[in-house]
Amino acid sequence: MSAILSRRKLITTGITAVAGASGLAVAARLADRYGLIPPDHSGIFGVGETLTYAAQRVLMSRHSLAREFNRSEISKVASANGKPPENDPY
Amino acid sequence: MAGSAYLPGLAIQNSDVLDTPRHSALVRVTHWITALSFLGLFASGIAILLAHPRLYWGETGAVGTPSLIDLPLPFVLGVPIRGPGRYLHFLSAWVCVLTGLVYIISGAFTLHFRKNLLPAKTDLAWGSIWRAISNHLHLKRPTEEEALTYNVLQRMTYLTVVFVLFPLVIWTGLAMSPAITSVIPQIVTVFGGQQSARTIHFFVAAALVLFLIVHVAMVCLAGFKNRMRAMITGHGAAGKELS
Repeated sequence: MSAILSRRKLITTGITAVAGASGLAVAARLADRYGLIPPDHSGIFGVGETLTYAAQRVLMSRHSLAREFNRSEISKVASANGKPPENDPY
Repeated sequence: MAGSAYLPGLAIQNSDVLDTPRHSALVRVTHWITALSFLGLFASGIAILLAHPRLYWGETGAVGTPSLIDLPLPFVLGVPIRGPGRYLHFLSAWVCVLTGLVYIISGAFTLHFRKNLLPAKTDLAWGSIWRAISNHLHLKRPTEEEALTYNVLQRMTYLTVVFVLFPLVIWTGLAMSPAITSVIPQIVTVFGGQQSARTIHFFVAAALVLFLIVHVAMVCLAGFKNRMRAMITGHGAAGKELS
């Protein structure tokens, strides 16, 4: 290891950065075209939300249906988690 | 000691030791990103659990139905922590999984697992394992030389965490997703249902938290400063004990 910043390092870092940025831009354009951007894509949790939303849409692109259950597998009590809100028009 | 620095042979050896990092840059970076994401997963996991701190077995479970375990925790429904908790859990999970993939793939290519984590055959003899356990029970600190590699207990623990606990916690997490189980139902049916997957997810996560506590305790016992320096800069004892 000689200099901290060699010319070779500078060039490779530059090319990697440009390639990464343009790759990201292309990915965003493609994701937008195929409807993979969720409505809540902004904000601090936006990245995770977009990845989850896009991954699910890509995975379910063949229109898979929800799982089906036997009668015995359906819960007999379907109680809400907690009390229903009293103030809201519920 | 200052005297040894004048011996050319020793000096080269020392600089060699100091130039090869204790942990490779990739291990250090992925370690800290994983640590950060695990913190996020832990905090948000608790927030999600508090919405319904009961565990069930099978496909379904609700307040009126028989539960497997009632955790001694309150139902927290009035405080708005579930929404942000869920958002943070998914974001941290993505960070954790992607970092883990980088770690696993590069670790396989650089032979990190084979060289640094797979225990040697001779170390898997009962005598050798027992010696390591006894060293731990007597709180024997490793010498600096021993600390340059992992002992057999560390190796087995790290392999379990990387190749058993993390894959299992990711799998059971995915098994709770209706979107994913609509495509691959087998991912949840092997566990016997969504609630079973949730229960296993809880216990594997608890095992990972236990690992974290023991891991941090061992770092403190073995020498907090040196271990932290090794995981941040790559170099353990800053030449003091070595030269």
